[in-house]
Amino acid sequence: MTPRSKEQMRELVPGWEPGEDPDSCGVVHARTAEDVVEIVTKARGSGVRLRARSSAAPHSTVGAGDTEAVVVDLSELRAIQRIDRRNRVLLIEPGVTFDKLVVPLAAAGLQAALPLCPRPGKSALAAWLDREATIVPRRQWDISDPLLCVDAVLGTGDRLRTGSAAGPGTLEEQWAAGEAQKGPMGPGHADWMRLFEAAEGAMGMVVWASVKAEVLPSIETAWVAGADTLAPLVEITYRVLRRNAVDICFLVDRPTLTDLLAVDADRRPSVERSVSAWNLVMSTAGLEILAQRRHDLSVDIVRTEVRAAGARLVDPPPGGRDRLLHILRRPSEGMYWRDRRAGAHRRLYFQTTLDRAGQFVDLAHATVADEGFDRSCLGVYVQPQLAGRQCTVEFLLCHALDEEAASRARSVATALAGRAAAVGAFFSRPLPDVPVPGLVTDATGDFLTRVKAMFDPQCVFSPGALGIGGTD
Amino acid sequence: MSIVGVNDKQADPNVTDAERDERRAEVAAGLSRVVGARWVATDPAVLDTYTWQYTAEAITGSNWMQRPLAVAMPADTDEVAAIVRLCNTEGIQFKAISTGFGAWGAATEPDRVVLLDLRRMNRILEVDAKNMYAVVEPYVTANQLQVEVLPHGLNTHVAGCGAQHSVLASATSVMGQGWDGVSMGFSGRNLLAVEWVTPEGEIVRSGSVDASGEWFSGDGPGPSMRGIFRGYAGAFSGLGVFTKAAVKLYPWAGPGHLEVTGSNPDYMATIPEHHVAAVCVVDGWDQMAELGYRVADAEIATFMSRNAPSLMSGVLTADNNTFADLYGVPLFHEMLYALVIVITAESAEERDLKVDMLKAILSDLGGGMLANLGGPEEVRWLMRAVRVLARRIGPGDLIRSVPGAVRMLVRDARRFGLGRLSEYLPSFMYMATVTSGLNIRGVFRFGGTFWTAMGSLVSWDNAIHGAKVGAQVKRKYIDKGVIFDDGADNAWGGFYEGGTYAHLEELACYDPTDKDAADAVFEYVFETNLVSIEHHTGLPINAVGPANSALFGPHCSSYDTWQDRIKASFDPHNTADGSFYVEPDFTPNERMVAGAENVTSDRAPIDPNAPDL
Ligand SMILES: Cc1cc2nc3c(=O)[nH]c(=O)nc-3n(C[C@H](O)[C@H](O)[C@H](O)COP(=O)(O)OP(=O)(O)OC[C@H]3O[C@@H](n4cnc5c(N)ncnc54)[C@H](O)[C@@H]3O)c2cc1C
Repeated sequence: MTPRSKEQMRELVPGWEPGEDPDSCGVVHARTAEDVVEIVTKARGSGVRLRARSSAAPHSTVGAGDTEAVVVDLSELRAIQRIDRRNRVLLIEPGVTFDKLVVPLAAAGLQAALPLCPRPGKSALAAWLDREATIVPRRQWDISDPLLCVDAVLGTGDRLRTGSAAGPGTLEEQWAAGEAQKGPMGPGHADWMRLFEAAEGAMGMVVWASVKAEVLPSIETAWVAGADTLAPLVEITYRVLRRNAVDICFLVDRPTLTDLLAVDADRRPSVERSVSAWNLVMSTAGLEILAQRRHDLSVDIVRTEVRAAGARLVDPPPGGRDRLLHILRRPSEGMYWRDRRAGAHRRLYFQTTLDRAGQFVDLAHATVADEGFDRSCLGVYVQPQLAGRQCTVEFLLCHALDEEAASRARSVATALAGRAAAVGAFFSRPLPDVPVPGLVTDATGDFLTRVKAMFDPQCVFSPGALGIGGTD
Repeated sequence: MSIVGVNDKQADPNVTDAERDERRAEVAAGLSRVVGARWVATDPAVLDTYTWQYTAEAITGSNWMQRPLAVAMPADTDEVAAIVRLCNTEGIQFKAISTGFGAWGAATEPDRVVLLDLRRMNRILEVDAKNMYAVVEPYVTANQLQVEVLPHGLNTHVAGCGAQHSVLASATSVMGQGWDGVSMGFSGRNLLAVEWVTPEGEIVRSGSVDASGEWFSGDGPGPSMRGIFRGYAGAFSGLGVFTKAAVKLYPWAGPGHLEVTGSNPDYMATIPEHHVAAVCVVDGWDQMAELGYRVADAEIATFMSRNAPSLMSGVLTADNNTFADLYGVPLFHEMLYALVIVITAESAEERDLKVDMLKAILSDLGGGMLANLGGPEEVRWLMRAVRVLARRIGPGDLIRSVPGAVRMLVRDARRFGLGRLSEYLPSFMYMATVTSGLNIRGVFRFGGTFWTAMGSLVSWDNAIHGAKVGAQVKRKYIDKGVIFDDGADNAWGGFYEGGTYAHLEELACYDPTDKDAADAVFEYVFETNLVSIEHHTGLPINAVGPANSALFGPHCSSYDTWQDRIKASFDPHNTADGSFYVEPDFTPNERMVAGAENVTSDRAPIDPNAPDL
C-alpha cells in the first residue's frame, strides 16, 4: 500500500486513528453496521485495505501478516439483539464475547455451543464464523453449526443477509410473523453464509448473526473415562455418540487435561498425577421432561460402553464432577488454559476422522522428538465433530513467553503441519502464521478467486492467510 | 422445482428441419466419440420419452417438455467432463439427470440441450460405517442406499418424493425436505465432499477429498464450495454436473431389514421391537405449535411430520372410493391438528422413556394418540384422541362417524386379518415415514397429479403462519372448481435438525389433463409467492428459477443479482441449462405474464389471524 499521511488516511477512512498496534496501519472503530458500510464504501478503490477485528487481543488469525491493512474494530457492535428460548436461537453482533453470553442465556434457559473453554474476551461470532470446533458433537448437524444466518457487508459496500433472515421482511416483521432467523440455507440457489466462513474477513464483514442455542439441561454430570492409550477411548467415543448418550464429548491427553483443570499453577503436579494418560471427557444430561430418567439412561449407556472397551471411569480432580462441568460450560477462567503450562502456546489444528486420530498423535510425538522440542510441552486435544463423523485434532505446543521460544514452537508447528498434510490431514481453515504445503490447490484457488472477484472486486478486504485476492 | 418462472421457449424459426437434423447428427457423432454410439440417442421416439414429465402442463400448458438435441449416457466422470467440454465447443447446452422425476430434469428449449442421463453411474462406492457416511454415484437411489446401510445400524435421509430418488441429486442439486428431517436433516446439509464437473468441463473435488482423497468433509480450506452450488434450492444442473457425492448417514436403532407383508397396494410393515408409531392429536394450530416445539426439545422423535386428513386418508387407502369413504368420516375428516411421530429405541427402557416423555407432553396439552402402545394403554390414549376430536366435531358428527369407522374397520380386517387390525394405522404411518414409501399415493390419486406451494425452511411458528395463509389462497382455487377439494388445509411438512427449522408446504391436487387446472396451478403458485412476501412467511419452495429470483430478490438482499454473478463467473458461456436456476437472457413468456395479471386482478382475501378451520 502506498504510504499516506494521517490526513490522507482520515480522508479515506472516516474515523481513522493511528492506533498502537504495530501489526496494522491504524484502526477505525465501527459502532453500527451502517458505519461498516460507510467505511468500506469510502475505502473501496482508494487502495486502502481493511481487516475486521471483533474482540480484544490476542487475535489468533485475523488477517495474519497484513500489517498494511487498517483494522476495522467491530468490538463496539456488541448487542445481543435477541435471545429466543422457544426457537433456541440468539442473534448477536460481532463484539459479543463468550463471557457475555453465559449469564443472559442461562437466564433464558439456554446455553451456547461453546468451543473448549474459549478466551472470555473472544468474539463468539468470530469463533463460530471461523468454524472453531465446539464441544457437543451430537448437536453439530453441519460443520457451520451453530451459525445460522448472517448479515455481511461486502467489498462492494452492499449488504447481504443470508438464510431465512434475508427476507421477505425486516427482522421485526419476521419476528412478528413467528420467524426467528432459523433457516441456514440460501436465500435461493447458493449458501451465502458458507462463503464468509473461515475467510478471515476476506469476503465480507459480518455485522450480526443468528446462532443455534441449546436447551440448558436441568441435570448434567461430567464424566472422565481414562485409559493408557487413545485407541479404546476412540472406540467408546464412536459408541456413545452413536447412542446419542453424551453431550460434551472430547479426548485429551494427560498434560492437556491438566491444563484445563489446574486453574492454579500450584495444583498442577497433584492434578497431573491423578489423571490418566488419555482421557475421554463427557457429560450426560437430562433436559426438562423426565430429566432424571433420561440422564440415568445415558449414564447406563456410558458405563456399559466404557466397561466394554476395557477403560475405566475415573473421578475428575480437583473438586470432582461439578467443578469439571463448571469449567467446561464456561469460558476459561484465570490464566487462559492453553497458556497455563508454559506461559504461551501455539495451536496446530486440522480435520480427520476419529479412527485416524491416533496416527496423527504418533506423528506429532515423532516430530516433536525429531525437532528436539520438549515432549512435555506437547498437548493433544481431539474434538469429535458432526456427531463423530469427523474430528478436529489439535496439537498444543506450549512455550515460554519469549521470542525465541515462540519462534521455536513455530518451526515445530511448521514441520508438523507439513508432515501431517503429507499423510492426509485436512486443514479446513488456515493456521495463523504457519504455512501448510499444498493447502490451496488449483481448484480451491480458482474457486476462491472467483468468489472474491464477485464480493470484493477491488480487494478492499485483506486477503487473510489463504491469500484470497492477494497479489501473490 | 418452480413451475412459475420457468420459460418454455420456442424453436428458432430460422432453422429448417433439415438443418436441425444435420446439427443433431453432428453433435451425436461428437457424443459417440466420447461414450460410444450405443450410449447416444437421437431417435425422436426415444428423445420424447424424456419430455413427458411431471408438472410439464403447468409450465408449457401441454404435458410435454421440449425435445432435447440428444441424450447421452456417460459411464464415468471423464466422459461427463468430455461431454461438457464438447457442449462448450459446440455452443449448445447440457443438463444432467440422475433419476429424472420431473420437469426440472427436462429441456425447456427445443433441440438445444444435450441430456446427460446418468443411470450408468449407479454404484455405492463406499460405506464408511464407522464414520457414518457413504459415497455414491448419481443413480444410486435412497431405497438402494437404505437397504445397504440398515444392516450396519445406519440409515439415510429420504426425501418426501419417495425412496426412488437419487441420493446424489437430492443432496447436491435439488431441495431435500422429508419425513425424517428431525433426526436426519435436510439433503443439502447432509452433503460432505463432492466430485463436480464444472460448466467449463473441469473436474473439481471439494474439501477433504481434494486434500487427501477422503470424503468426510466438503468445507474448506477456507470458505466452502458448497456455498456456491447448493443453497436452499440447489442449482438444478445449472452449474455443472456432480458425479460423486459423500452424504451423511445416521444411526438406526432398528433391524437390518424391515418386515413387510402383503403386496402392492395392500402391504403392511411389522413395526420392529422398541419402535412406536403414533398419530398425536391436539386441538388447534396453537397446540400444534406447542406440540412441535416440545417434542423437538425433548429429542424423542426419529420421524415427525404433519399430515392433513386428506393426505393421511390417501396414504391409508388404495383407491379413491375407499378414500372417499374414509375421508367422509367426520372423526377422520377433522383430524387436522395431528403430528405423526415415530420413536425408535435400542432398548425397552429407552422406548419407555421416550414414550413417557411423549405422554407427558400430550397430557399437558390435553391431547391423545393412536399408537402401537399395546394393551389398555393403547386404548386409553386412543380414547383421549377421540375425545379431542369429539370436542371439535360435536356429538352429532361423532355419532355420524360410527358407521364409516365400522365400515373401514371391517374392510381393513378383511385386508390384513382381524388380528392385525390394531396395528393397521400405526403400521401404515410407520411405513410411510420410515421408507417414504406410501406417501405419494396420498397426492397423485385424486386428480392424477399435484403441485405444492409455501414451504419455507423457517421456525415452526412461521411455518404454521405460512400454512394458515397458504390454505386461504388455495380456498380460492378450490372454490373455482379447478383443484381438488382437500379441505384447503393440506399442509404437509416436518422438522429438521432436531427442530432447528421446519417447513409446511400447501399441497394442491389437480387433473393434469385439464387445461384450466394447469393454468390455475400456475396462478396458485404465483399467488402463494406473493402472499409469502406480504405475510413474511419466508422464501417458499417455489422461489426457484429466474422469474422467482427476480420476484423475491428485491425483498431478500437482492440475492438474485449475486446468483447472476455466480452463473456468469462459473459458467461464462452459459453452457449449463439454467432454466430452473439462473438464465442470463431470461424474459417472461406470454403465459407467465397473463397468469400474473389474472392473479393480481383477483386476489384471494387473506386474514392472517383467521380462526382455525
Ligand atoms: C411427486 C414428487 C414429490 C416430490 N417431493 C419432494 C419432497 O418431498 N422433497 C424433496 O426434496 N423433493 C421432492 N421432489 C423433488 C425431487 O424429485 C427430489 O428432490 C428428488 O430428490 C430428486 O430426484 P429427481 O429424480 O427429481 O432427480 P433428477 O431429476 O435426476 O434431478 C433433479 C434436478 O437436479 C439436476 N441433477 C440431477 N442429477 C444431477 C447431477 N448429477 N449433477 C447436477 N445436477 C443434477 C437435474 O437436472 C434436475 O434439475 C418431488 C418430486 C416429485 C416428482
